[in-house]
Amino acid sequence: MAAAAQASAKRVPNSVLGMIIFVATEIMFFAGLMSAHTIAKATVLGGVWPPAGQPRLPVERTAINTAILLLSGILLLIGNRRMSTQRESALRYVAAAIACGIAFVGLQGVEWFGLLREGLTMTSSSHGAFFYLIVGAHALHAVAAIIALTWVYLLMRAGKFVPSRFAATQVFWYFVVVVWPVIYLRVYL
Amino acid sequence: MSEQMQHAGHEQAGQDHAEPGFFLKYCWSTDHKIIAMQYLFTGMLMAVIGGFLAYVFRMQLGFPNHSVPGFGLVTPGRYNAVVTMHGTIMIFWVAMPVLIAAFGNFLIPLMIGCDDMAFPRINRLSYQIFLLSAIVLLVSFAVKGGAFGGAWTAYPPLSSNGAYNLTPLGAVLWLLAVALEFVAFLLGGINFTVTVMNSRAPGMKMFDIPILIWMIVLATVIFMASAGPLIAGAVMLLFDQTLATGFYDPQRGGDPLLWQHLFWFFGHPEVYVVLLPAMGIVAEIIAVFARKKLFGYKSMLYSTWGVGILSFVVWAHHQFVAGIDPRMANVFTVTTLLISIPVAELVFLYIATLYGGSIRLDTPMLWALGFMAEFLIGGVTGIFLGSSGTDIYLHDTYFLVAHFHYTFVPIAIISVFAGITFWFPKMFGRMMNETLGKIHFWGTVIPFNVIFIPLFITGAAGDQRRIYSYAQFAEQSRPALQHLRTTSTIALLVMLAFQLIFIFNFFWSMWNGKRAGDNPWRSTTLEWTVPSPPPHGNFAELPTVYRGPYEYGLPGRADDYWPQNAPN
Amino acid sequence: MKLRRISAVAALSLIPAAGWSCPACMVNDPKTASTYLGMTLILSALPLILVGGLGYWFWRKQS
Repeated sequence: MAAAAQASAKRVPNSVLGMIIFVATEIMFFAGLMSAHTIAKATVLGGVWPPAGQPRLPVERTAINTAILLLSGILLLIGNRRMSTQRESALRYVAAAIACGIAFVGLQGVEWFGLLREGLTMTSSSHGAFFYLIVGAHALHAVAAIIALTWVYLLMRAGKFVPSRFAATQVFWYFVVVVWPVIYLRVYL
Repeated sequence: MSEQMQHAGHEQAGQDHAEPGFFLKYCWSTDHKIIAMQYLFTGMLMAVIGGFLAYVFRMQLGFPNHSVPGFGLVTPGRYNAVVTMHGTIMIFWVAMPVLIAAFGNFLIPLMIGCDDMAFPRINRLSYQIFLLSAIVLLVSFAVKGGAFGGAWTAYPPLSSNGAYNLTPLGAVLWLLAVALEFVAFLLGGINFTVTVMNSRAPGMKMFDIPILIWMIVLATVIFMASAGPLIAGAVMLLFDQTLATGFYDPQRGGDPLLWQHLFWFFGHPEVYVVLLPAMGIVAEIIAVFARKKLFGYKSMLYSTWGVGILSFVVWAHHQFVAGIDPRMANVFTVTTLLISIPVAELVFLYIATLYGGSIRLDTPMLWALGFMAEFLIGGVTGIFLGSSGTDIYLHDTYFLVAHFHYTFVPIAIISVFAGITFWFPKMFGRMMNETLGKIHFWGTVIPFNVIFIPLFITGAAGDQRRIYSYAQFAEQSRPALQHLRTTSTIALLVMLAFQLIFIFNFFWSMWNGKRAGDNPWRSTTLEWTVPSPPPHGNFAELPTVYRGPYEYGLPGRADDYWPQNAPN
Repeated sequence: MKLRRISAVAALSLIPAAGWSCPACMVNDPKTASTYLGMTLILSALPLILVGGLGYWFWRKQS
């Protein structure tokens, strides 16, 4: 029995393991998108990217957004470290991380409205199509991560703390945070 | 989440005593065995549809421009749809669900000694999404314009532009169905991998896992690692079809080659996704029926890993004629030929297992040996297509079609029959009829060769694939080859007729077969230690594993086999 | 000696001129070819790195 207990302590919990595998497939999904985007960039007619007549992306404003999203990841890390000792303060960090995530998605939405007004749409050029495809796919993941983390946060506030559930949600959140700078570097710069 | 699931699992077990109704028991179950049966029967139904489609276009090719009984006249557009749907259904709705989902779901918990999958409810969801995907695909036959007619590889611009493929609605539904199916198998794959990593019986170490389980898990890992780019490409194709974006349209800054880049990144590993479980089934069977320890378990495992690694670096060989960089073609020729080494290693290990064994030629063993013989032909003809030089001539001819079917029919048909005849006693508690089984075996394997050997010849003579009628094209007509095309069609009719024997045998034996004991084949692995069919929760008390899975033909023991869970 | 001969043959394989990476887009651009080559290499290597890395991590954790 002791040996079995030891073996189960070494094991990664089911939900965390499942989430890690899921995130690996998601990384491949984004790799596919980025690879297609890189090829489209290289094969663009005229050799100039973004294509002539298309608006430039707001690089500076998005840099601030990127910082906000990275901050949310750091806040969640701190929340995780304090979870076992200072539950109250840890929950505040998690809430702050959620707030940062919501701010990121909101600011991205504002940016999209601006770009749409400037004439960048999915059909205006492959530049626009790839921009909305990649950033939109990331935004969907960000929204899913916010919903999941909010749900876990509310359960934890109600006193139902399940370590493996919190850990699995964190894995997904960190994935959303870490994949964004790569997208920013490839799509915006 | 897992704790909640386990809790739910216990509740489920508690309710079980109340004897749930038919719907709850067979359609809403979280039991891995029921879900496996759902996958198996859905896959068999789809196989009947896929076989019917093969009958339709083979009739058109064998007897051009005659009305096909049961279908009607095959117009060019309908021919395209029928060929596309045959390929799609046989790969995504027959090979994948039966080989991986059905056998995986049924055997993983039984063979590693646990009561159910790690996530039973995700498992149920996986089947429901799969069923939905099958329904979406079948509905596409009925929409305006008919089912998708852009070939199962869906190359743009044929697939992205409704004006080219003439099936704008069918194309969208096809993509949706494939996407749903992928979601289903991603859920299933996560489930399989987690279960095998975390729920093994105590004592079952890495090298005590039956080789079939290893191969199914590696196959799902390959699938999950390669599916992402295809899903990305599919989303782009869907946008091209519905939102009029220009991802694959060169006139608007897109690139049609991009689809091939993303599709084949998944498409080739997919071959190994279905090959590995088939190889695993054969390995289990030959060890049992040769009464010999599997030769070189570890070499087998390392070869399988080698296949898994190499499977990611061979995919551009599908694009040799698409205008890829010749330097890249060189690299991919080398890797393609390299991957035949671990696969050949596996076959050699199987032959070494047979060597000196006391072989019993029961039906499952016949199928297993048939797999090895036929797959060998498939593998050897692949060498010509894997070399970038010869591929330029042979690409998209019937030589390729014959090669492909010499690999996929052994995988998706022969090994599945091997698996079904072998595990039928465990699934339904009764034996299948041996005589009918043997008639069915010879009635399938001989016509199979008669179908495809002529196609090697017509292909080498230059017959292009996906041509609805050779007489319509002067440079393709070659009337001298027509008798070969007709021979192939007649052999297909014979082969399809013999499948009726299997269907009869399957359902007759389910109720009237000889009762099977717990262990009719005298096998060592854990699934044979439980009653047939296994009860809910599988094991009365969870087993402990003491040794590897292939202890056969041992001198100095009363029995010639030593079950994995026997202490001494 | 043998090694030199093998590397000479391997070097020969690099000689074929870069073909049109995208025959349909009418740009015979070496940049296109090298981008396809690079993306092919990255896309092929990424799953191996991911699965290998995870496998190594699990193996370390178990032992």
